[in-house]
Amino acid sequence: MRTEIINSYMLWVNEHESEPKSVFKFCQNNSFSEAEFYDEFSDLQSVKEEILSDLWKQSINSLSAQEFYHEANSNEKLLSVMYGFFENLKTHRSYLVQAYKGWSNPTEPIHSLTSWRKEFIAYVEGIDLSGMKIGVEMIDKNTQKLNSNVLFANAMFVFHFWLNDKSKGFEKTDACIEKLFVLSFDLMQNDTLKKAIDLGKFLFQSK
Amino acid sequence: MESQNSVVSSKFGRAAKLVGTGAKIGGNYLKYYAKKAVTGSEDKDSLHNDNAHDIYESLSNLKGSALKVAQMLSMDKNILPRAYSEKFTMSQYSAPPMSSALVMKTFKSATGKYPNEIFDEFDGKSIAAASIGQVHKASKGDKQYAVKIQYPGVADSIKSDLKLVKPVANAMFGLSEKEMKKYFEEVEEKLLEETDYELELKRGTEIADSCGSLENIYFPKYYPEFSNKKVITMDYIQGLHLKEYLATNPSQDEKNQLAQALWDFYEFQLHELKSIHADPHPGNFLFDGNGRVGVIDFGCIKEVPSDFYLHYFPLLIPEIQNEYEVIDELLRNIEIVFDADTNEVKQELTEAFLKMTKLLSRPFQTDKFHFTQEFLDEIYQIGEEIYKIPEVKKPTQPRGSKHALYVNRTYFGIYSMMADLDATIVNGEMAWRNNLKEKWLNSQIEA
Repeated sequence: MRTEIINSYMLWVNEHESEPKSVFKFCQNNSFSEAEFYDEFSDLQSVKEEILSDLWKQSINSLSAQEFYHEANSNEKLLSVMYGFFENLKTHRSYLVQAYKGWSNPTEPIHSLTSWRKEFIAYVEGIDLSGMKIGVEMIDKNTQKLNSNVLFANAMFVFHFWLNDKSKGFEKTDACIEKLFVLSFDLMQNDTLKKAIDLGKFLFQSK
Repeated sequence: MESQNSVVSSKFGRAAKLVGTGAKIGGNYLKYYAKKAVTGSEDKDSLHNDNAHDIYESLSNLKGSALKVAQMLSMDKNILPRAYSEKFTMSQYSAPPMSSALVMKTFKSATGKYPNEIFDEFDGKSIAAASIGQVHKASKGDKQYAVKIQYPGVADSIKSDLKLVKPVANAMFGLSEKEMKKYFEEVEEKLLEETDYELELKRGTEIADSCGSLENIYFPKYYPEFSNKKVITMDYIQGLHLKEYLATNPSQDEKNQLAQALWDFYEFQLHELKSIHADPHPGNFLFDGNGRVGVIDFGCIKEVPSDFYLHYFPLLIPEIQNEYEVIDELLRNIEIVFDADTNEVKQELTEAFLKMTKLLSRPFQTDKFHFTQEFLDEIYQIGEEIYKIPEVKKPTQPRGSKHALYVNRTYFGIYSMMADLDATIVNGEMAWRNNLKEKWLNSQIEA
């Protein structure tokens, strides 16, 4: 049922070029009842939120079947999930571009990203990023919180970048992930300005 | 709007970087003239060294295709003083590696599967970096593969990078933008071709097939089923790079055999295939230690247009070098001299060009030729001499066919490998000479 509701929601947004105004109207046009809808979601907003977080979770799941993923260090793990995630997003691009049309500032967190953010941070905190250790000391809770938020800000930025990416196969998004995250890992380890220049150059070229 | 700001500032940042380099080069010249005025001696090498260092610093911040241009220029030692070319050779090794996550992803996008679903083993760490990609080792059963994976977005960044290199290059060679245009177009075209791995696979397979009968030279087999535009899979070839190979103290006979293999390979490509492997930098040749050499990387192939071929290669033939009228026609065709030139300019350029050509064609003139460092030095020297001619130093219009760019680069590459090998080659019958002689000397008689 969950999948059906999600698919119907995306179809609605694509066909109407806008989001459904009420659960009532949404269910009326579909084969499920309001009761069935509320068994799965609290409101329409949460459908939108969870479409993203479901895709995120799916990317983690499909990678955990891969041997190389388990052998990778935490930085590489996060990168793999990011690449897998944007690969998954491709399938629903029309819906996503439509649904996030009004989002103009990539640094401004919007409500519909909340659920993805929660999953993202839970994941990052679960894999013990090597970038989160400073020297030999384990970092304190606040630093960890800051770091996972910085990484999510990166992910959000990439998502916004992807929504506007016009390159073939979205290869610029790949480059964006690589440059942005590698830079952040380095910065978290008190490294390095060189890669910041690389990123600046890339952003310049992508316009 | 945040991103807009960062874009603008980075654009200025890059421009400022290059302006900075220009200013530094200017400063180095100032130092040079000051030194000359004080000591009366020309410490030109230290000038070139200072300049090369500053240019290298600025290019190594650009990465990607700027790196490729640096490589391109570094091969063409004739127009670059040695200090430049040594610095540039270093730039071949400084591209940042891709994360193994991106490697896996790129491979999967290309082939539909992760590398470990296809191979028994796949090393996420690269064994070699190329300027537009990196190479990974893989194995399946007892077979070993080399998998080359391209950086995402490389093709897009090439044009933009070239625009940034232009002012540096113009400053280096004293040429205006208009003069450099046709050469830059040629370089850009070749660089873009290099990003198309499907084309590389096709060309690599073709060349390997047609050169299969040549002795002591071998090529990897390519695997189209594990390749596409961004990924290319081939046999993993064992072997040492030239420098490492020479460090093993191979015998003179073995070195001669290798030099001969390379010599025959290029002769065959040029005169039979009319299409050459135009990236003869040391990383593309692997020496197996048994007198055989493996050739990899067919990303940069120069197809030699037949009109250019007909007018350029006759210059290497002694009998033709003495036919003034033929020479005149050839030089006009390959854009060394123009109808609009004054007689003095024409004569000066013709003489200089002939002098250069006679030197460059020396290896073809005798049955045997031994390549030495002194021979290369002679070439550099004459190059610098020619550069002093006002019409060459500050040309009134661009001179030289754009096709000569990659052909010359290839020959300088081969000559310098030959000199490193310190080896003797034996010339075969060189049937191509008879064909060209027939064409040019007979038509002259008819006329």
